[in-house]
Amino acid sequence: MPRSFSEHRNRSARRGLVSLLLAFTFVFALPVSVQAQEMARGPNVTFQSMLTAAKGGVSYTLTQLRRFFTGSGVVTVREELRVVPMGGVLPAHELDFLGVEGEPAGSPLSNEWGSVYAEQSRLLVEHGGFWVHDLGLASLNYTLHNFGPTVCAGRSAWLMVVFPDELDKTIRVLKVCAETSVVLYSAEYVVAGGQIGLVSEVEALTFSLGAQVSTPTTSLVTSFPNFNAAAVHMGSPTGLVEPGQTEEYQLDRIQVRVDPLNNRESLILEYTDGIDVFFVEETPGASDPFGLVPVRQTGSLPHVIARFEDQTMSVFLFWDGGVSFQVCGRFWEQLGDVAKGVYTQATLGN
Amino acid sequence: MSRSSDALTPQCRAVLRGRSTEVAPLRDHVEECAFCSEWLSRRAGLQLLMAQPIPPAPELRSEGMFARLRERIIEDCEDGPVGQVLEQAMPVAPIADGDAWPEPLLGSDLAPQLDARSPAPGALDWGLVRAAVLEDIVDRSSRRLVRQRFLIGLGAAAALVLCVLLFRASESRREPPEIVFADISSLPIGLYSPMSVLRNGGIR
Repeated sequence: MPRSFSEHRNRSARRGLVSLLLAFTFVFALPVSVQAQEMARGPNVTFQSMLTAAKGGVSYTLTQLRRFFTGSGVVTVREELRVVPMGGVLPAHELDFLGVEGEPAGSPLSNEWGSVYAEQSRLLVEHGGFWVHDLGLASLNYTLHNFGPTVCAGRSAWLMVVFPDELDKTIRVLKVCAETSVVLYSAEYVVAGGQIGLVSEVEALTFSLGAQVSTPTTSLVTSFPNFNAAAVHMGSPTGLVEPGQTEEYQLDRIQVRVDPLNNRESLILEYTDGIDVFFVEETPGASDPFGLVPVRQTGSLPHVIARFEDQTMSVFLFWDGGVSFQVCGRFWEQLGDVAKGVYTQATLGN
Repeated sequence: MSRSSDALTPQCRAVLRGRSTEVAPLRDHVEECAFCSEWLSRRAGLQLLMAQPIPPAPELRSEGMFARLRERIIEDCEDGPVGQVLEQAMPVAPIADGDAWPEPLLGSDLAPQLDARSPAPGALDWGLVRAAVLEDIVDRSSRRLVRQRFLIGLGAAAALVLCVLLFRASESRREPPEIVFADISSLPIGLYSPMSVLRNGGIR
């Protein structure tokens, strides 16, 4: 992606934010102003209520559409999500692939997306929708605005907008069930270059109470309570790095993922600011993906971080001491500094 | 020169107390008083005599006199309570005349052993001595060699440890690397990225 995008992002963010506020005001708030007056007693939708619903609310089943904004266009996938609260921040869940909209079942594209769902349904549910990962951090870093009542999946809901306190992150638009505080609709908007762009969207079509989920017998991902436990599980390979906390993001989860293609294990550290998440992935035993690049062979650039950015995500790749590192997340201006910090830690040996 | 105390004048008492007779009132009194003038002349004579000490008698300074004094003091102590206590605390056991000093205690078999003459060493003995001497020389050489090797090894180990410490110290002082970003237009093929999955299913 061109560098100008990130350089001008901060400058244009405030202007875009004003545009977004005006847009939401005219598109959503004014038509429902009468209803809003009727429900002037105020909604009970807060970060706390959404977290409480995830921990101990109702079990439910959603049929929903998830839109992926790929380079070749928008792909809309129909899916079924079953959720059973289990007391944790994230409830037990199951996600089934139902099909690609506009594609016949069995088509190559449909099969491809089916395999994506078969492997990555957990990631799609836990990080492709909206969850309050940490109540304190969410309250610290975001502000929840109510734009009035609406209807989604046949249920009365509140249109909510989650604004980051710093304008270098995505803005979330939610439709939250007024009765259950279940998120029925979530979308992410990026403000960049004076433009507002929709980068992800999940929309419920039907909502029904009750669900059953089965415990998976095998899983590619295993969670661990701390870094050392995960490292020991991986055989204590040399070169792993335990990054420190940032001012906004704190370590949320530590997982080890097994690559189904080569059975190689990767340590995945998830950091959250309460709502958003970025990942630090460390894969021991991997070869330098840029080792064959001539500039690396000459040694003139020994410490290089490959940076991929587009309007939907930032990915930083580097390699040190036999460990391949990846730092990736949504828009966040300081993610590059996080990658630099991890690389420095790896180079200096923690 | 006797005079009763009632007959003494105050000037006489002053002279007897040793007041100076050089001053006028007492000087005149001494010239007029016969008692005081005679007392002063006798005092001057006594002072002359006392200035020359009388030496003790030679018998009192002899060794025999001191020995007798010591014996007398010891005898007095032996007869006194201290001597009686010592006599009771340290009884002297009588020893029979025949068994006072047994013969084995007075003699030793060391002298006969020393007097016993060893047989003269033969050729075999001298051969053993020669072999022992040579063996000792070889042992000394090997010990010296081992000691030299030990010292060399110790020095090498110390140098190695020093190098490691210096290397680690230099590493700990390493400056943070100068990191540069290189923009890429697409993610590497086969790379798993959670964000890529979330955004486009990881499909390229």
